[in-house]
Amino acid sequence: MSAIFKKEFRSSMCGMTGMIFIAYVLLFLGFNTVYVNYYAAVGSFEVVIISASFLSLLAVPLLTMRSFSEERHNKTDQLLYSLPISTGKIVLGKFFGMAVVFAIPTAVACIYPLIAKGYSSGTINLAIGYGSILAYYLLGCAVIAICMFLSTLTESQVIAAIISIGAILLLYFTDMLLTVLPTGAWVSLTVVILLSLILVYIVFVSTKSPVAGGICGAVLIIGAVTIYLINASLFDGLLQKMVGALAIFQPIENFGLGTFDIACLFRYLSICILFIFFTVQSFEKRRWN
Amino acid sequence: MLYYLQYHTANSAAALQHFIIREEFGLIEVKNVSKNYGPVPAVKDISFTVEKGHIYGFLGPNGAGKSTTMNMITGCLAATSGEITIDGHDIYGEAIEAKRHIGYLPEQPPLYTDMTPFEYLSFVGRAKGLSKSELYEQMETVMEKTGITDVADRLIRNLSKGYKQRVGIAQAILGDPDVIILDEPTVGLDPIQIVEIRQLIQELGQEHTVILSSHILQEISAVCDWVIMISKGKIVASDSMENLLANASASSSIQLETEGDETMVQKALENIAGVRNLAFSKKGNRLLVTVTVDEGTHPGDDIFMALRHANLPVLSMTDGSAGQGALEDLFIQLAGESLDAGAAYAADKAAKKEKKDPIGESPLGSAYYDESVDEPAAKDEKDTDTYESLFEEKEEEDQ
Repeated sequence: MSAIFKKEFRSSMCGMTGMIFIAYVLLFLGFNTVYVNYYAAVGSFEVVIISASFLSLLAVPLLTMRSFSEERHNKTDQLLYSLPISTGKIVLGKFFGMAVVFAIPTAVACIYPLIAKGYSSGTINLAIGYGSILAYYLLGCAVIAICMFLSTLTESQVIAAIISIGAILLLYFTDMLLTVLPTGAWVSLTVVILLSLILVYIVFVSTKSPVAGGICGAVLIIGAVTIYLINASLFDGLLQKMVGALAIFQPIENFGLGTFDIACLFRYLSICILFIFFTVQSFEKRRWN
Repeated sequence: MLYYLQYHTANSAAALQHFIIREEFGLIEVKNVSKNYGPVPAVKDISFTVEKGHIYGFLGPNGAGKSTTMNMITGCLAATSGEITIDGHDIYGEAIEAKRHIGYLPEQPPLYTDMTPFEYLSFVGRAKGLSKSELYEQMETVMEKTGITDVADRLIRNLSKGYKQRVGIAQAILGDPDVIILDEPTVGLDPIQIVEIRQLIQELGQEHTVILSSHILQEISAVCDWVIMISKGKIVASDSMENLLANASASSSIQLETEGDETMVQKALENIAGVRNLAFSKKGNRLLVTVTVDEGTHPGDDIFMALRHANLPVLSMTDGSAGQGALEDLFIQLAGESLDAGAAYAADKAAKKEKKDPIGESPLGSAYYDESVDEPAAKDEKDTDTYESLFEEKEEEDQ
């Protein structure tokens, strides 16, 4: 794994992309620090992080776009497949390589609250400030994991970058989407049934067994309808909850309220693990096609 | 051996199993392996064994399933059905252990072009689990062996194709694997580079088991001592080079071109031992003669002298009963090729241009999958030129 990690880190730093990424993130963090802490004279660093998080992380596809698509394009993935390393270690090596590149601008940002504290009369809460930096770093890692997964889906770096930016925009604007979604229980039930049908299709395609697909579909749909008939209120606002789970840029705002939100940190960590798992599956699947 | 068995039965069942695997199975065992790309079968139920200490040639036309098979052996591709073991380890079940025994150079060398050969090899070495001291020691040997020491500090993207291929081979032999698998290692190289790479492969064959795939017969016959011929996803022959040559020579013919008429030639050749049959055809004012010879005889010299005494000038002569020609004939015959292949290819090419080739290797592959060329060639209909020109044409396309 260390070999893959070193290679990934080295190729990011030797190529232009890693440097541009670091510069871009530092630019947005620095601009927001100056604007919030000095120009507007707000004495909290978490506000800087919250206002900079979305725009600075828009550059993540720059880092991730080449991770798997370039390997596939140059056929170097055949080397990775034939090396005595497990797919999990390959993916982890790549992920940590990119996570360490992202750690560089985050580490630089760790100096900012100290500088601000030097100028303020002691109003800056360092614990919340550094907590928000940690949350920001984990949010960045979660976005890296998501974009890394998207990079396994295509051979073209450009397409990987475009779908990654699309995904980040979708995640950010989900919050606005929530306000226009219907809240009725029956709408949620319909969506659950639709999702069940998609799952049935995936089961059918992967197992090629109509029986397995049929059983899976019957259990899910009958289960959902039964629960609806017993207690329809469980489905109230379920659609909002499901879509709300995608809104990963929102939990970090809790730090702005002055709370150290541990649930938010765990949520980002679990997104990282989930998408690393998806990446392993996607990379492994190529072998079976 | 009896002592060994008794000793180990008493002591360790695992050691016994290991012993049996080592002794009774080859280095690589491929059992009933098939691979389908969607509905298209690329490899159909192939089985073979690779023993230690040989250079194996994997020979077949483009699209026959060579690369697919090699990718399956090295774990780059999963088989639809069947089992592949490397030194007793299943390539999917015990992938890491199995892959330690393999060095693989795919058709396109998997190089990171933004690295220097030195950096690249140290990455591959570390990934193969070599310790630092082992790594630098082996890198030095490997770079010397493949002749890339002088370019070790230049970026791979700036190297010539020949050097890139060498870096690819260096990567494969790093870690001292038992078996080195090279997929078409000389494609796209100039003649001098081809000779150099072949020499390198022969050197490697002294210390490692080498599997080499190619669609070029000359390459296989120059380097390998065991040949596995594959056609349309099936193994059509697997034998030592000597046996194949002997079998090929057993039923062959001599083609010659002369001036004069049929009766004069017939008269001149009637008393030569080994001449079984004569067939004639005209090419302008020249006479093309196909002499079918008896098994195990080589009457080429006698035929030439007899025609000379009869004042019949021999303008050209191809002795198909010895060496290359015979093997080529045999290959074409085994591969189910025929004269129609050329025409089928031309017709197919136009049709296949429209839709993507399902085999994904070459449009030529489709010609071999055409049912119309399924019949084995009749001996006197075959034309080695057709075979060669087909591949030349393909290579030009590849360039």
